[in-house]
Amino acid sequence: MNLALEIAGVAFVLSMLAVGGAIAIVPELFRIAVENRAWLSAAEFNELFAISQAAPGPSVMILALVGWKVAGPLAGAMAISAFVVPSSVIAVLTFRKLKRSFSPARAKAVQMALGPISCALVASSGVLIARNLEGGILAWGIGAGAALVAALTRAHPLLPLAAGAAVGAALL
Amino acid sequence: MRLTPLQLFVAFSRISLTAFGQLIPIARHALVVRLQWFTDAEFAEHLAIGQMLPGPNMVNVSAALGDRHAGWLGAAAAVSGMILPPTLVAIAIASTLYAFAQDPRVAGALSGMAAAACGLVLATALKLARGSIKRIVGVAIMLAIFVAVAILRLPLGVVLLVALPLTLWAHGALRKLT
Repeated sequence: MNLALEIAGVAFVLSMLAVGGAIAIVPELFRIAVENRAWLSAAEFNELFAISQAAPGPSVMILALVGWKVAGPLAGAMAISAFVVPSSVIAVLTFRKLKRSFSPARAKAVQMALGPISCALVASSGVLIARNLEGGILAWGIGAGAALVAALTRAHPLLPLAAGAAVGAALL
Repeated sequence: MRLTPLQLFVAFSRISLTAFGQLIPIARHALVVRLQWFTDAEFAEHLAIGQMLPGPNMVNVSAALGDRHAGWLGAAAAVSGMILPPTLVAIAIASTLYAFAQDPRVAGALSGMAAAACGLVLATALKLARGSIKRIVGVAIMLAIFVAVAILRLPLGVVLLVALPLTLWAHGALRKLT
């Protein structure tokens, strides 16, 4: 139970840091869960990240999965709740206050300002996952293939994930 | 028209369950084109505020929309629709895979999937860079944050404390805008 509370606490702090997209917290979650607290191995983190990418919805499922893997289903539920409930309360209160004071010009400027943050953190997520891939040159090949397909085609993201799983099952 | 909590829960469940990777365009299509609960401008404005607030962007937007129609209960229904169904799917996938984790093929499949996920995320970063970084100062800020987080492994809180005001200022988001 203590561990579940600790994970929920981390999820809450991460939520408060999640500006410009939830996937941006992946590097910080990795730093805390793998490097600092050793709740998970880097390989386990990578697996949970992969499953979260295969799941639908907002890119926050990694938190539920980390909680679930480390301390059971209740911890998973607590982690995801800690990630979305307080931030949603803040959102409701802020939107009630703001009403119409955000002009389209400012909305655009804010979005342009947050772009570099999201982009850097998403790239960092990719690099941290890449550093701990298992399967050597073949894994790098799968990663490069998936990146090319995603960058150059409009293929559904489940397609490269399924292909990676199939190649991994056969050869890794 | 005022939406009920049930309508909000169903609509956001449908959005969250059909979105893989690209949540924002799917939510925009559902909320602006199909359901017409937002105009395009309203959606953009809500999204910009949702991005600046802590927490997941579209969840913030769903909370605001739910609250506008049905108060706290509406917000809870909309957020639950965004989060609950995909969480159950994620846990179901993970439980199934880990139930067979001793099988070397399942272990291999997980490694292969991780490699593919890594590639997907790097492609997303590339798309984000192309779509949302238009100025050289944006590139500089992006690279600085990347070095701080991916290479120096600094805590995110410290990085954001410096980066957030800097990027808002550099992109003119703090000036008076009409």
